[in-house]
Amino acid sequence: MKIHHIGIVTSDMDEALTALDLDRNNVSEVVFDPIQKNNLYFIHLPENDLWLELIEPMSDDASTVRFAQKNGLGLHHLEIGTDELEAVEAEYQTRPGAFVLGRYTITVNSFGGQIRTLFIAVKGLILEFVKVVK
Amino acid sequence: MTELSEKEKKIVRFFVEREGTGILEEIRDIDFLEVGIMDSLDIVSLAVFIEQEFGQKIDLTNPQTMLALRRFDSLVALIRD
Repeated sequence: MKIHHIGIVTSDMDEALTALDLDRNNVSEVVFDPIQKNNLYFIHLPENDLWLELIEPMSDDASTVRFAQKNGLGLHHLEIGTDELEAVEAEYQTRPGAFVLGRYTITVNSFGGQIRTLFIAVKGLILEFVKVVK
Repeated sequence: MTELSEKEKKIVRFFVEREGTGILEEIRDIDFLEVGIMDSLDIVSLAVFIEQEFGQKIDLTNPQTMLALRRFDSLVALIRD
C-alpha cells in the first residue's frame, strides 16, 4: 500500500497553511470540485514523495462543511493509489464496519489528469482510493 | 416521549450516549444534521451501530437512505424488523 496523499479539511486556508509551515507559493494547483462543492489545494512534499490535499468547503451544502464547522482544521482522509477500484470496492463492501461513501471523477493535473475516486469509511477512518484514468 | 419499541430503544441509546438524555425531549422533531448533532463521520458511526445492533448494512451512497438517517422516525423505518 502506498499512501499518495493526505486530505486535510479547513475552514480557513491561510490558517491551514500556517499550521503546516507552508504558504500559497507551495500550492501547485487549485481545483474546484463541483460535485462535492469544495476547493482543493494540492501541495507536493518532495521530501516524502507525498501530496497534501487541503480541502476548503465553498458552500453550506459542501461535503466537508460540517467537518470544517466542527473541527476548523483537521485530518480528513488518507488516499491510496490503485488500478483496481472495482475490486477494492467489492472487497470493502463485505467487511464489517466498512461503508462506501461515494465515487467521483475529477481532473487533477497534479495527479496525472482525470482520476476516478472511491471514498470508503472504516468506522472513523476515511480512505480514498484513486485510479488515474488519463 | 411515547412508549418506545425495542428497535426504537436501541436507536435512542446511540443518541443518548452521545448527547445525553436531554435529546429525548426533541429526538422526534429535529433534523440531526441541521442541528449539528451529526456530521458525515457521525453518519458512518450510526451506520456501524446499525450494522452491529441490527445486522443490516445500509447504503450510504443512496440519497434516499442519507435523507432517512437525518430524522428519528425515518431512521426507525429504514431498519428492517
